[in-house]
Formats: sequence, C-alpha cells, structure tokens
Amino acid sequence: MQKGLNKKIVTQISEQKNEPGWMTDFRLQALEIFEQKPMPSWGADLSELATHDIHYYVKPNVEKQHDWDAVPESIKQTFEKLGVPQAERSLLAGVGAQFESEVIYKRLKKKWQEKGVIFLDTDSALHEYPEVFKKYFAKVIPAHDNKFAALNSAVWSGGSFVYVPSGVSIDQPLQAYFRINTQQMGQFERTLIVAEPGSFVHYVEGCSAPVYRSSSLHSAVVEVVALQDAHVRYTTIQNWSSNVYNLVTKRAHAYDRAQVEWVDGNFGSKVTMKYPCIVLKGKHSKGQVVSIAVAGAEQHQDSGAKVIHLADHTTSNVIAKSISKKGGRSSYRGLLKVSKNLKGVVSRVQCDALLFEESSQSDTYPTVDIGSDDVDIGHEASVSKISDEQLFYLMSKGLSAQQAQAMIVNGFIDCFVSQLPMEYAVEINRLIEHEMEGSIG
Amino acid sequence: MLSVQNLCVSVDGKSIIKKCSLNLEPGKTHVLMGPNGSGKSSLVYTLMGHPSYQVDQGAILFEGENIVDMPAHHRSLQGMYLSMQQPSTIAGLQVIVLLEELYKIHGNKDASHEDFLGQVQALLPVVGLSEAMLYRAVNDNFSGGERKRFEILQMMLLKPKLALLDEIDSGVDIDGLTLIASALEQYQKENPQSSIIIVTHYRRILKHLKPDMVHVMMNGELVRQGDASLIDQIEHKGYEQYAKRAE
Repeated sequence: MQKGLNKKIVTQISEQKNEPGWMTDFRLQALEIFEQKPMPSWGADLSELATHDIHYYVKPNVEKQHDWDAVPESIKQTFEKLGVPQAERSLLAGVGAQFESEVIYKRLKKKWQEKGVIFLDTDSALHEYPEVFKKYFAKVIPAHDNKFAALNSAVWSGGSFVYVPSGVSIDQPLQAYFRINTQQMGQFERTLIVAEPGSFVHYVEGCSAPVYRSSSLHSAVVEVVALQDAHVRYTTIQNWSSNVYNLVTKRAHAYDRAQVEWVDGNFGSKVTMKYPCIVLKGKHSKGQVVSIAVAGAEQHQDSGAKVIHLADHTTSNVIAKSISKKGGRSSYRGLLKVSKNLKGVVSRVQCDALLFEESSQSDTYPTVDIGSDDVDIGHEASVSKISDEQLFYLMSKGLSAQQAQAMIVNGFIDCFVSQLPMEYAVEINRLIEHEMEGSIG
Repeated sequence: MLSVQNLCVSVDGKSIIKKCSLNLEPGKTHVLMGPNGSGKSSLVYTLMGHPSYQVDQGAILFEGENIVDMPAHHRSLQGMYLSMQQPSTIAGLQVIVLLEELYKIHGNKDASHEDFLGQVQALLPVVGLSEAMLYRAVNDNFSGGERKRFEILQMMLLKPKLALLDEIDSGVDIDGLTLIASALEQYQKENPQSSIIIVTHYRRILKHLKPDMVHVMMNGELVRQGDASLIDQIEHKGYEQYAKRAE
C-alpha cells in the first residue's frame, strides 16, 4: 500500500481486513474529521510532522501464531532485543506482540478462557465478538475527540481487546509488546478494555524501537471502561526511537466505586504528547495516574494527566515525575476538573522534575477548574538538580559517575517503579542505566 | 600505605592546602586536628579525589601509586573510604539497594543476596541501627547520629584499607559516640592492616581510640605532628601555640 492518506487508502485498509460496513463508514467519517481539524498548536511543536509521508498500513508477511514454538526465529530475536528474558515468558499470562501492525502471537491461558475472558488483537475481536465490540468501541474516545484520535479512528490496526466478565479477577498481568518496525511506518493501534462489574485486570504494554533516520508516527487510542466496582490498572512503558512522534489518546470511564490506574512511562521519541485521562463518572470512584517522562537531547516530552470528577465522593491522585537531560525538555500538562455541586471530592497532584544540567528544561501547565466548594485539593510541584555533592558522595563509595547518576535517578523514580510488575521494574532499571550512558561529559 | 608529599591544593584558584606531607603505615590510626577552617576537610576531600579540589603540586601515594589523577570511584575501589561530614541525601533510593550495589563492586561480585543480607544484618547492631532503616531512603530524614553510624556501617561492610572519617563524632550523642568508637575498635581488630584518619576538633572520641599519631593543621599547613600527648597539649593551651610556630 502506498504512502499517505485518502478515502481510497482508508477503504482499502477496511477491505483488506474484511470489516463490516459500519467500521468502513466509521473510518471514512473519521478521515473527514482528521482532515478538517487543524494541527494542535497549544502543545509540542508538530511542524515537522509530515503526515502525507507515512505508510498507514503494512500487512505483515507472517501469519498469526498461537504457539510460541511456531513463532519465527527472527521475531524471537526481536523479543530478545526488546528485553523479554526467557525466565519471564513463563510468567507472561498471554503475550501479544504487535509486529508490523498486526498481532502475530497471542496466547491466553485456558483457565481465563473458561471464565469468559477475551484477550485478542482488536481486529480479531471485531470479527469474533461483534456485539460487545460495537457496544463499547469509540464510546470513550469518539473520532472527533482530537485530530489524532480521528487519525487513529480512520486507519487503526491491531492493538488489544480485553473483556473481563462480571466478578472475574485476573491475577496475573496481561502483557503485550509493541514495536515500530518499518521505516516511516505509522503505528495506529487501538486498545479497548471493558471490565464488567466487580472484575479486576492489570494490562501491561511495553514498547521499544530501533533508531531510524526519518520521522515516524505512533498515534494510538486506548479506551478503558471500568463498570461498577471494577478495577483496571493499565501500565505502559514506551521507549521510542528518537525520531518518533508519539501522539496518544488514553481515557478511562470509571463508574460507581470503580477504580482506574494509569501507570505510564515515557522514554525516547522526538515528541510525545500524552495525557492519560480518567473520567470519574460514578460515586466513590477512584483514579490514579503515576507517570514518568525522560527527555534527552532534542526530545520533548509533553505529558501529564487529566482527571474529571463528575460524581460525589470521587478521589484522584496524580504523581508525575520527569527527567530532562542533555538539553531535553519535559512539560507537565495537567487538567483537574470538578463539576458543579459535588460533595466530598478529594484530589492530589504532585509533579517533580529532575534536571541534569542548566540547558535542560522543565515546565508545568496545570489547569484547574473547580465547580464545587466541598473539595479537598492539593497540588505540589518541585524542580531539583542532581548536585555535585550527591555525585561525589556516591563516587567516593566506588560508583562511577554514570552509576551514581543512575542510582540518583532510580531513587527519584522509585515511586513509579514500585508500581510496576517485578520484571518491568528490572527492565526500567536497565533502561535508566542505558539512558545514563554518556550523560556525563 | 599512604604517603602525602608536599601537597598543594587550590579551589577556584585560591590556595587552601600548602605543602602538606604525612605518612601513614598499615594498621595505624592518625588524628587530624585543628581549628575550624584550617583545611582538615579539604585535605581528606583531596585525598579522596573531590573534583573541586585542584592539586597544584605534590603527590599522593596510595600503596606506592600516585593517585592524584585518579577519579574518586577508582580510589574507592582501590581501598580508600571517605565518611563525609554531611553525607548526602538521595531521595527514594533505598539503603539496601545502595548497600548491595556497593558490596558487589567492592570485590563481592558473585555474592548472593542472602550472603550480602547476612553481612549487613550482623553489622546493624554493631552500629545501633535497626533493620527497618535498610528500607528507608539514603540519609533521608536520618538524624545526625544515624547518618554517621550509617557511614560506619558502610565502612565495615566494604572493609577499606584506608578510612578517612571527617568529623565522625559531630552531631552524635554520647551513646552514639560510644557505639561508633567501639565499632571502630572492632573494625581495627578484625582488619589489623587497615588504617584510619580521623578528622576532629573534639577530644571526646579520642578517649575511646588510641591514636598512633596526631597531626595539627593550621591555615592549610600541617604545623605539628606527634604522639597522643599532643592532644593534652591542645586541651590545655589551645591551637594558638602552633599558630605562632607557623609564622
């Protein structure tokens, strides 16, 4: 398929996937919205993003696999490079890998299938579970939400579909790895998680990409529906190559007493714009966003969190940590909204920035819109710099400058790492050490 | 073990240590005394390789090798140790994480976690720290005494050949001081070849330890050295007597 985007290409994508007519119409409408909406100008600089110069769909040349042994060796090697150690694979409840836009490997433990859990790539889910799919698809994030949600809606491919029936608790995290593979290929996965009343699921995705020369675009949409008393935790670790525009829309709806947590780690990329959102629709619902952003040379991490309180006795907690080094820039952009005449709303926002040197940059753009009086709101922000005394203290104990920095950084992001499953915590520590390489002149 | 020869040091172009020389044999305890601002801390920082301290002249021989151009962490790995006057806080970094990393890089690369933990647990009561402290962030909300005892704990775990203890007795209460002194005593008994340089301007810790030699520092110069009897002289007559001598 050729580069660029028009009605013909969108129709072709839908035809190749053999989709029902309503999805083709949905995609075409979304394309119109994408074309009408201007580029967002309020955030990071997107002026170099050439949306016409991107492959919007690449069909993989391998068939879908359900058995690890049948996965081609080259792809297993990619997994090695992505840092999924052998020992961890037994822990992986079901591994979903997005490789050249489509899931090639997916496995789900039998006991969950018996409980009625659906964990599939989103394309398959559209065919195999059309009713539940149509009921929830694009309801949390409609195509007209923003320009890049519209783009994803028009050209989406892959991603995960998770459905957890009423009262079912999945004790091990569901995991998926994503990766941009082809040069100039956009990645537009679409993930939808539906947690029926009283259920629990922890979904984990991790990304890593090799370095390419020209710009590529990753623009995902993630929708989460947590019905009454459900608990959804969604963990993302993204480590894009430094040419990727990472423009992601993530939103969750929490109904009565439901709980939603976004745990979001952003490494790499040229530009990231991502503000995981939680809409607290039901009474006594809770939301938490814990994030870390690391901006290196010529990188801009524009990330944050949005929390919208729409019901009484709702609680939110945002912890955002950012690290800027080698002249990189991290911005925290947050929205806290409490609608009118609510009772017992509690919210805490804490953003901490760590700077490596004077040339690095950190800024904060909080927007607070409180319509009620009976609220308890706290907002704290701090900016700190790694001090020479700290470095010498650790170096005098035998750590190299690089190891010492990694230790300080690991301490700084500890409250984020402690939210991760063990194997991811190990991976993050490795990533931090890698990120610190060459940080000291 | 350590031979400082004619050392001249400056910070930002300002001379702060002038022609200092001293020799330290294995297994010995030396005391570095002097009034505030006389250059004692600067000297031990220089010995450890703090990048702000520029060596303009002279040599620092550690086990026969001139380490003047060696970065701090290599000095540490060669067997030097510094307990700073004010150990830094590292927010969020758990004590146990730091300790295990330090233990590994100091010659215990293949040690198991259990082995490491056993070592640390045996040392905790020696310095009067609780196990809960292992799970706190490094020096975060530590009292003055806890910081110093934590430094001694690290020293005992890493077993340096030469420990530079800068005011290990300040900010410490009497019980803490006794603990530190007896920990040092135990350390020297278990590591008879290890040497210690204690920087202090108090006498009280010296009642517990028996220094082999005392150096007096004034205005960046080592103006006097002698045996433990110097401590009594200083006690009675203060540092003034040496100031005159320095002129």
